[in-house]
Amino acid sequence: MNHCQWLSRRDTFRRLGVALGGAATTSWLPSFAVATDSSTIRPKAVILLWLNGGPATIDLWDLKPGHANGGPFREINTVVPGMRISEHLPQLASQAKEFAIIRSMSTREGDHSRARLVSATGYTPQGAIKFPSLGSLVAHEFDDSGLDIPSYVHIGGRPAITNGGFLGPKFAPFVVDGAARRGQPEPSQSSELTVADLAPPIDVSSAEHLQRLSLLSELSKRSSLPQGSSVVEALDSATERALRLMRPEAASAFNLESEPTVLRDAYGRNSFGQGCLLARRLVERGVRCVEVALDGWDTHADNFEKVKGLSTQLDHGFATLLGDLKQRGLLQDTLVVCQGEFGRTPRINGQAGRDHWPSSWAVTLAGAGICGGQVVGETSDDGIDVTSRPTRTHDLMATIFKSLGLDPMKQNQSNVNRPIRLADPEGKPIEALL
Amino acid sequence: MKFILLIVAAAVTGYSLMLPSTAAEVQPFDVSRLIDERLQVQKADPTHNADDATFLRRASLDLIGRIPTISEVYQYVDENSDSKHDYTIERMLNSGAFYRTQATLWRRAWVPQADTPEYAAVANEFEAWIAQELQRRTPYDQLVRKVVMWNPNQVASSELSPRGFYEANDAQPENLAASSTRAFLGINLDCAQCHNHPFARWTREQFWQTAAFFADFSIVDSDSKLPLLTIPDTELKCQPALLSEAGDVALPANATSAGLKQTLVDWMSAEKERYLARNAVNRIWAHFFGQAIVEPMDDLSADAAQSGPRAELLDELSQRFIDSHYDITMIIKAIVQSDAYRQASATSNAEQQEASNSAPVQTALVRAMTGEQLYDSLRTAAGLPAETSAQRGDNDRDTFTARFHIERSHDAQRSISQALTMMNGRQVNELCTAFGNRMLASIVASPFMSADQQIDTVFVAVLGRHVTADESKVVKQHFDSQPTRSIDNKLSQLFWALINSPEFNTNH
Repeated sequence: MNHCQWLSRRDTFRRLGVALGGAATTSWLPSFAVATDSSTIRPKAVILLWLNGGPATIDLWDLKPGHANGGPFREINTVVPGMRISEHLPQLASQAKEFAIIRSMSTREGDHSRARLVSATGYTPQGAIKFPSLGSLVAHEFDDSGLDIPSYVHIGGRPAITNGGFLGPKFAPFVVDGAARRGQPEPSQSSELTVADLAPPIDVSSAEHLQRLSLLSELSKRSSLPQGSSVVEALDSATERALRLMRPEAASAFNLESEPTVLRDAYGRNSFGQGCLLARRLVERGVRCVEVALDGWDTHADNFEKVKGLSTQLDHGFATLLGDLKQRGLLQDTLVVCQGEFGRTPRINGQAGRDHWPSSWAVTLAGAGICGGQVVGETSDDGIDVTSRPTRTHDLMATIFKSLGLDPMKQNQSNVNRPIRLADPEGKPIEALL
Repeated sequence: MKFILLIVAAAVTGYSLMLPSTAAEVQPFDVSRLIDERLQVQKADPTHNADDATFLRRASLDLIGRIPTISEVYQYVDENSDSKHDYTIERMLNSGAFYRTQATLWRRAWVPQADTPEYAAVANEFEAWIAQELQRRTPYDQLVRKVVMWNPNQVASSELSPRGFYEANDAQPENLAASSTRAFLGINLDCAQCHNHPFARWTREQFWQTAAFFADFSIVDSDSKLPLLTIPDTELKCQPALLSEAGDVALPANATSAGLKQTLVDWMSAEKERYLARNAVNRIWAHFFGQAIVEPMDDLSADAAQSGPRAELLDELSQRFIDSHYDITMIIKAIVQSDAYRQASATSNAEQQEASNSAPVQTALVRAMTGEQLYDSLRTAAGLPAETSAQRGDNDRDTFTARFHIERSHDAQRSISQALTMMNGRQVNELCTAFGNRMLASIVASPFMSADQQIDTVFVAVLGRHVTADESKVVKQHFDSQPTRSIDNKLSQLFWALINSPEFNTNH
């Protein structure tokens, strides 16, 4: 980077700071809507609805009402003949044409940590290789440096992988925390989504912040550090992008107050529902991957009461999201994935609960290149065995990449100097879904 | 009389034979000269050297993990003495912070898994164990031996141990094999776990033969009595076998778990290509210079890493390391006292290259700071003592260092979240108040200081150097434009601006 560019970047700190306090004069062009010429792939986005703890998919997508393992829930019909889901997902039932269910997921990890890592990366942990998560990979593939908002955002709780893996910090998830302050009620009850450190602390006024930035800018211009260092370049770039994110136009993406109350109610006044709404807003503005987490699915005891409550949150958030995306013409370029790290035992345990069960569980996909309104794979009547189309994590990953228009076999260089493909090469995309 | 003399002579001879040969055999000074010669550093031209303030800051960060305090800066920069350079290095090498910094370096090299939340719990004890061993002057090869030979089945006690290495690998033979070869030998066997790698020497069979050294004895070969490991998804079974020949190191006749691991470490020390020494020297070099001598650090066995001037430099330094009986302090002293380490950060950074084996070794790169260095430096800048974390967990230092974690200092990229925290974070902003910042509080409480002195003190505290005339002018103009603000408010702005500057956030 030459001297002139370097100086002008330092100057932008102050100008970006001014934009904070004053009215924003420039309007933003959602990079999502920028016309691309025919030679480039139209960028797509992924919204991952992460059901944390291992959801009892046998009580959501693949019920066994005729069997002792089925428990008290009943099935209801959906608008797709032959596809039946839980009675506690009625809104989704009316949206069934938009999504597909894979009932034959069969994986090997029954431990939360490991299973989360495998689900996030599509690879089993191996030595020193820092596998990036799906979000980092997608953000990297559709990288857009004109975006003011980070291209990979995680809402609620903590992502399985907090850095960008071997792709670097630029593709690390930007975390929007559900838990704002200590002493607040549990995150899933709070609908206040906050971005950590997005604004200066309360006792620092915006005038004070401007003064600080102004001094930083003036002093940095006189810095005696050698120019051209990639590390300094990265520092300046991060500060600049952080200041851009603090600007009203970008920061306002995270402000849900401007959404109609009716819509906010439809999504559900809880962290997950509001998170889904935020995901739609971010995707509209060009963010490539948004993860929205819903916690509480680790139901070793009292499974049915808990799953019933969580199902309602899931139903409202997921169904409203699908409708909202469709209505805005975004669904064809946005893949929605709904899953957890494994399923739960078909056999009900002594505390009316279900325990960890990776051998047979379900995942739901919608949007982008997915043909909705169908079911892939089957399990036995007791829910224990996968009887057709067993699907491993890498198959799911391959399917996801392909539906985004990406080649699952594309390679990236890793931190141990060994190329790693987007999806494990053993993964086969499920053609029926694409 | 003669008889007594004979006994005394015999005792003295016997005693000196018993003593391990001291590191006096290999002088750091000679190794420094070797480094300078190979790197073609012009000794005669001191204008290439970094100035005192820059050198002190760089050496402090690299040796004791933090920037220098105000008094350390004044003692060094404002003093004119020939011996201050060597004396200061000695001071740092003998401080507890040196051992803690080294412990973090080796823990990160050997158990990188501890940087993930899943295995973070093992980091604290492992680092404490390393620091303890280093303070006892345990030679590097003995250190490695103790880690590998540790018995995971022994009863847990309250003493520090290297158990973290086993725990972070889930005590699985294949993980232990991959980790051991990468961490201690700089050999990357990862790919060979599943298939024969097209670019490296190692086969899948060799991988599993190495893993077999850590196998339990559940399946045993009837002839050799050695444990067998089955390669997953195959019918092939592997016995332990060394990756290469090494003198008379051979598998024991009656193998036990401990005996097998003993064979493995004996081989590590004796094998001809000296990976143990080369890997150690390579990583130590990377700590002080950013780039290693041979990159990538995890693959010293690659063909491209066997020849050329960089490979030769690594060989020569490794030989000295072996000759010194694996004395880490000797190598560190040699590096830090070399002219190569004293170089100023040159404009060569504009063409900072990938460390291919044909490109010359680069010195004086501008490097990123690790999370630990940043945190400890922020506290030092604020006049606060360093924290010693008794329990790793959700305390402030661990939260901060996890947030600011970097992989390699020479090409680290700061993230937006990190930048936001540095500007708006609670911990950082507390350090900007006179309440949370002893240095600012003491300035505010010193009315005899002139405006110039106040400003200069903040620069010395945060950046380790005096303010320039130009900067001072800018700061005073900035202060004068806010006549209604209090002095602690204005100094707080200055402190904030300096800790958010690239100069503070880099090791240069």
